[in-house]
Amino acid sequence: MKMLVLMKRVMDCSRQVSIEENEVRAEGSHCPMMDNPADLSALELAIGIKQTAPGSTVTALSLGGDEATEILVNALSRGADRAIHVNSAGGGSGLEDPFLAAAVLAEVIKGHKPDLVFCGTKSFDTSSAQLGGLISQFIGLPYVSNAVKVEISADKESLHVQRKLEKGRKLILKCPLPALIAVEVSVAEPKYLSLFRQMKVNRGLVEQVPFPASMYQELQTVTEVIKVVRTKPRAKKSDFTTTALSPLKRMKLMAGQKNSEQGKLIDGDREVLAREIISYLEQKKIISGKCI
Amino acid sequence: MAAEQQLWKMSGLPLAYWASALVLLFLIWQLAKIGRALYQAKKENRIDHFWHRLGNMFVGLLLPRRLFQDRYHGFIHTLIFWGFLFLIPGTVDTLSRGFSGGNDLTLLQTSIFLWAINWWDVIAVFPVAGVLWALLRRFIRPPRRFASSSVQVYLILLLIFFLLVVELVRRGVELSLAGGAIASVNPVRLGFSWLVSAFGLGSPELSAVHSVLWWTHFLLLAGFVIYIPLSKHLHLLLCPFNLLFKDNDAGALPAIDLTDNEINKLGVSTYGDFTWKQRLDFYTCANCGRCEERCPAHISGKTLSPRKLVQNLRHGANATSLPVTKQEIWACTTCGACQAECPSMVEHLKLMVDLRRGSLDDGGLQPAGARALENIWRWGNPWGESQTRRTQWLGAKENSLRNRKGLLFWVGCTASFDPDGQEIAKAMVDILSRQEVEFFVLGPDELCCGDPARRMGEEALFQELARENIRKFEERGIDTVVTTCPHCYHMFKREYPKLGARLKVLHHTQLLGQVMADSTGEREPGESGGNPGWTMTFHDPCYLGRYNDLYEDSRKLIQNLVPGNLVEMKDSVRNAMCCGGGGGQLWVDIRDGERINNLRFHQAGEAGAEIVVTACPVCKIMLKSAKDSLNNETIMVKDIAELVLTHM
Repeated sequence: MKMLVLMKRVMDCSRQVSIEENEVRAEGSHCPMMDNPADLSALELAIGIKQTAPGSTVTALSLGGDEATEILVNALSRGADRAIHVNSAGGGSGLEDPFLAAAVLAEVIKGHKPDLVFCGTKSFDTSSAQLGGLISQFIGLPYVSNAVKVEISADKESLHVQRKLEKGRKLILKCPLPALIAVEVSVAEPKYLSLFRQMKVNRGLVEQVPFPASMYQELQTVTEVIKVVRTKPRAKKSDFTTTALSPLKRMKLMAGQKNSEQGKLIDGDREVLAREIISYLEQKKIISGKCI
Repeated sequence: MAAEQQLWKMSGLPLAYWASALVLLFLIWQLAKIGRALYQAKKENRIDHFWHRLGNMFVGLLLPRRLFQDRYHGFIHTLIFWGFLFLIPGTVDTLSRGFSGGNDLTLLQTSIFLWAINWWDVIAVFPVAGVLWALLRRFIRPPRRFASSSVQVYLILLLIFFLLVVELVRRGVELSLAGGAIASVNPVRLGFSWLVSAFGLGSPELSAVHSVLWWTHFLLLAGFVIYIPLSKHLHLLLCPFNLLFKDNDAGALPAIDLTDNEINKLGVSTYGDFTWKQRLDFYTCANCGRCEERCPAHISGKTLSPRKLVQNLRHGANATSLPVTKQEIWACTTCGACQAECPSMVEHLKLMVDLRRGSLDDGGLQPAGARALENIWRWGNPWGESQTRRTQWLGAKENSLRNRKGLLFWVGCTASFDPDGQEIAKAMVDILSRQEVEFFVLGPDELCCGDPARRMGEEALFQELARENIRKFEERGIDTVVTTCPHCYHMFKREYPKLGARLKVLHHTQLLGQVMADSTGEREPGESGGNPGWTMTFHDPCYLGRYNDLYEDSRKLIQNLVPGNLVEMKDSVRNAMCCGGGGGQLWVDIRDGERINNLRFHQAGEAGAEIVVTACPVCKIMLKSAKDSLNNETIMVKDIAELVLTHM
């Protein structure tokens, strides 16, 4: 069973990400990076399958700049047999468009003729969730997304894929091999990887594949990023009744009128915040008297 | 004499020669198998300071302190062991006479041996008494560890018993037949001889009985020799070696050069990964169960039993994978009680860490433990808090305390981030300020000392942390450190030097003793000045007490400064029971059975304590959480620094 896992080194959006001056993209050079969690789960899934099917191979593939080496080395430490880096440096900013990225990756994947391709449903930073679907079209493979469980059937000719639907409902599909499956983070729990193993892996094993520059000229992106906006906490409107509201207001809310009262956003150090909260609660008569 | 010679002309002697040869060959074969296993195992240097080791070996054999941890058993073992040694000349004499048809071995005719031969019967009384006492103890108030004993125990005890009794009777018969014309007479022998005569057998019958008895003795002895390599009795032969090769720096893990290209793998996951000393440990283990009796994991109902672990490793040597489960590996708190108790000098601590190192990459680590390690890697502390929050507990004092000179007060992760720990750090700062000691803190420049990482098997992470910390110490010219955490203390004092650190390290109980020495002048120890005081008990942290032999400072400090009386819990000082928080357990947290900290807290209650005094932030967290989960309102948990502060 020849398996390929698409992996991406993404911006660590759980930390502070600064936006560039022109507001068109996040500042990539100083941005803390991380391995896309869904991709790590995909790799763990592939390695799990490899252990049950002797003779299988797992190849990790990543399209990106120098940062992609990190995730590929990680993949090797975790047990991937090969790691291939398609270096996009010089490919321009258009590669953020999943269409172009998919076209490039599809070219590389075609050459490998894998039995099974895994990728994450979406990446942690751009989150387009289109890459898998686009690649499957370019290569002509059946595609299933949002997979939370993947099993190979007894005859090794097809897969049983369980998809995650809303509200805990599930869908189980039978999908013929070869196929491309986009997986959720929950499909497998990546094993703890000790620092020692990471130290001992031979970084030179990452294979460099040149970026097919000619192809970039052929396909042009039709979408363009206009603006990137960072998160701002917003005051929330409350649309439910509480005893803090007057009876009239409560009646109006229950009758369907929107509450014009808005929440208040406060800022400051802990002591200031605590006092503000207490005075608000006192004001609204939710608590009474001095608590301190 | 002719009658005597006649007596020894027994029939079937060639059989005895053949049997002896076979038995000895069997023994040699079994020992050779063990030797080969040791030879093929990984290398380890245990012959440094060889004469010192030899000295320690003899001391260990003559004065086996660990055996006497169990009062009665120390005596029982001494009776049987030393009895056996002194009985050797007589037994050899008997055998040689049998084989040679009555001739004495000239070697044995020297005075010391002659004495042992002539008084054999008197000497034999002692091991017989020992065996009977041992058998009695199996039924009358047996210690906990006997519950997991196997049939082997009874087999060996009975074998020894009959070996001795048969020979005693035979010697009695021999005396009877000789009718007084024999040199070797002693009261016990006379007694047996008298007993024999009471049966009123004639000479021919007695001769026949004598032959039978000699053969029985011979066969029992042969059986015993065959049984040695097949049973726990192998410790007879191997204990002296395990004493000789013991770890002289027990508790501190040896340094490994991870950049060495020869090392492709850390820890053990197959038999080939063990060192020869570890394999020797498995063979030497006498299956006594003293380790198990003291293991907090075992006592609280986890599947881990150090005894079972070692025995499984001894017997499973042909398996492809190790006969050890993940539950066992991760339940250990690294308290060291097993290793401290073991009379066979088995080294469990290094074994557990090696098993963990080998199990990390198999996905053996529980999710919570993995998160703690990832936090250390990403954030520099197992809590995953931002390093800038390390000095939050200092509040306004932060800048002044970071820029001073003098003694470095290393706060440690627990005391920096956990509220209970922070109280300890604050108390220390107050005390040191009041006593006008010059000190400073590193603040966000403190990185985890590496203890949780190392004890959970993440050696590479530990070395990164250690190197970074050592670099910082050198950069700032720090050579003296005081810390409130015994884990950090142990790391800096015993393990960092192997990576090149040169530090003078104090635990806060040592420093407080020095610092408060001036202010105790006015009061006599124990004098309460009108205050009846509290009943206090001191909970010895494993890494302070067992690992580093610091028991007295804390107790003296309490007695000198705090009114009240100090009581001891059931398991204290050297035998102190772990709080359950070490070895990464604060995060790994195996939940089978009872909680270790609850059990320890019960001991405090049973001792009648109103305050449990600790000297470790982790112990404090564990005991406080026990107090909460047991809904206890009467017992307080305080660190010694907090107690000292309120009584300054």
